[in-house]
Amino acid sequence: MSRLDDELKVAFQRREPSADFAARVLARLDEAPIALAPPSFWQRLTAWFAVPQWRLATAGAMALLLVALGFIVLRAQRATGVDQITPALTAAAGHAASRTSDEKDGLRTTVAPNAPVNLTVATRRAPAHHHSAVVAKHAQPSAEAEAAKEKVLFALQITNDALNDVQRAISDDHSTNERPEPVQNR
Amino acid sequence: MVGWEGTTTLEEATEARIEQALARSVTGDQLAFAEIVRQHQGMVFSLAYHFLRDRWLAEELAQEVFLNLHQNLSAIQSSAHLTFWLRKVTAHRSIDQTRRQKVRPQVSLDDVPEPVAPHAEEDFLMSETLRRLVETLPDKARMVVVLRYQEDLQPAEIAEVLDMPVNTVKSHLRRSLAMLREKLSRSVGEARA
Amino acid sequence: MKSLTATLIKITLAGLLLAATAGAQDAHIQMSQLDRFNDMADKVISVDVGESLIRLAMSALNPNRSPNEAKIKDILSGLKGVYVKRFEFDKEGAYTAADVEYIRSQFNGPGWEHIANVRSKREGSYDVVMMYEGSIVKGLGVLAAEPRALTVVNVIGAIDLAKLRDLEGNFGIPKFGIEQMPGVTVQDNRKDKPAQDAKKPQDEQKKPQ
Repeated sequence: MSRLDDELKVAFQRREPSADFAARVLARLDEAPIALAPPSFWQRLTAWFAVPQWRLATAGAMALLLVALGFIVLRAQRATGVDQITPALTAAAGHAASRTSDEKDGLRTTVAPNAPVNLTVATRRAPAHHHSAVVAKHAQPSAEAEAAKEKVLFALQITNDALNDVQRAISDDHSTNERPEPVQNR
Repeated sequence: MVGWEGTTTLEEATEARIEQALARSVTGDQLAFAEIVRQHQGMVFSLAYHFLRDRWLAEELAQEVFLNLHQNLSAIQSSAHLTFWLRKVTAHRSIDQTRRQKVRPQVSLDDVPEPVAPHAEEDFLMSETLRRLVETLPDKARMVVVLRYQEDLQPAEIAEVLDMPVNTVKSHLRRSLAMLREKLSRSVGEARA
Repeated sequence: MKSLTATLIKITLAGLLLAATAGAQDAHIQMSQLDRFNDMADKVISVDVGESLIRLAMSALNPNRSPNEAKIKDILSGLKGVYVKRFEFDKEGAYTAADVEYIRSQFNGPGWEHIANVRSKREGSYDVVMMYEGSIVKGLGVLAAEPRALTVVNVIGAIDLAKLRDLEGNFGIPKFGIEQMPGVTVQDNRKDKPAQDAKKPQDEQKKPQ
């Protein structure tokens, strides 16, 4: 059997329902059963035509289509709108945006206002004569970008460590025959 | 004690006990029926849970399966037939459930059953990835995979449970595994595929 | 015709409302209440990485430079934020069940699915939750409540845990040193305390390199 087969067998091992499952089944046995026969085909067919559901369904479909089209148009407008922003406006927008995101991200150092936005504009425009500029920027990331990279990697490292701790706790706990305490229902 | 004359294996003893419980349940013995439930609740619940990926719904569906069983006890002929019947009803109800797309009713936190605890040897991330990938399969293919790997059924047995031609079952399995391999190898590199 | 128009308008409005609220399940975990440990804990690690910082970090990654950078960039491409709080204490019992419950109750909120829960008398308790939209991951939450450490991790966005695990050992040692990293708070309160038991807390072994 392949390794995938083994992994699938582990992933789909049987699990037990909650501890009082059998008791709840028996409790429902005692309840007076109300057996409602499912509606017959003809009943369902006549019910369908009793109200103009087909109209509602069509109207609903059209409405969703309009909403979807609206989003597509909006997105297209935004995409063309970025290329047309003047450099001055770019600088102002970038400064405000990076200041806001700095506060949000808890950055202590001041990020050069134009740096992230300039990169974005250069990448989006990217005609042939800007190619060398883009390549140059990519080859020499800013110090801020490097610092950001280190920070992000550090965060991911901690995340990975935490997940490894969970895995280890699962294995250790079972290997010492110490049953994990059940989670208490609230 | 294996090999001694007159003794039975553990499996045979369990089967005999279930057959007796079945016979008593038909006469209205609720304790006997409770034993049948306890013996099979893991299988029924797990089939529903692995298919629906919703613990609350799976418990509800499993309860309904056993309530249905209680109404049809007289039709069950043996322990093996009981297992087959439970698998079949659970599989079909689970598939129907997804088709009905029932809205989950509001429940209080008190009613939420405890989360599923991972098994000891389980790489819970890999298992979770596999379960999520299987969840993206079409209904029938998903149930084929669940029956194959949870219940260790052969394609012919799966075909019987799902009322499907054997070749269709094999085709579902082949395509599903190919998809899983492809997505896993894209995700974590060749080493893990 | 009038009734059809009215119906159409109502459904459009309902559709818009649904669209607006569909993304309302938030994968953010509030951790501010844990800030009270900042002065109490021996060591505090606090990392806040928002989306703009992630995009900035991606600009420093060149997939052509190494397969590792390509993998990291791939992982980052789906992320919107990574938030970490880790408190290490010099003795057990520094935090209460209520502190853990503050986080765990959020893990029971709408949209979160529990994928692992471990309760161990020895190791502590661990909870891992994920939020999905269909089959797309929207968020991850990890709570590790150990005898002398409390860690909360919240990742927002489509994180591929298998790819993350595949990177193990390849995150790279920070050039600057952790304490010099902008936006990362590492507070070591032990420097201000009188020398205590020389034995290092067990959890220090799990520190990232």
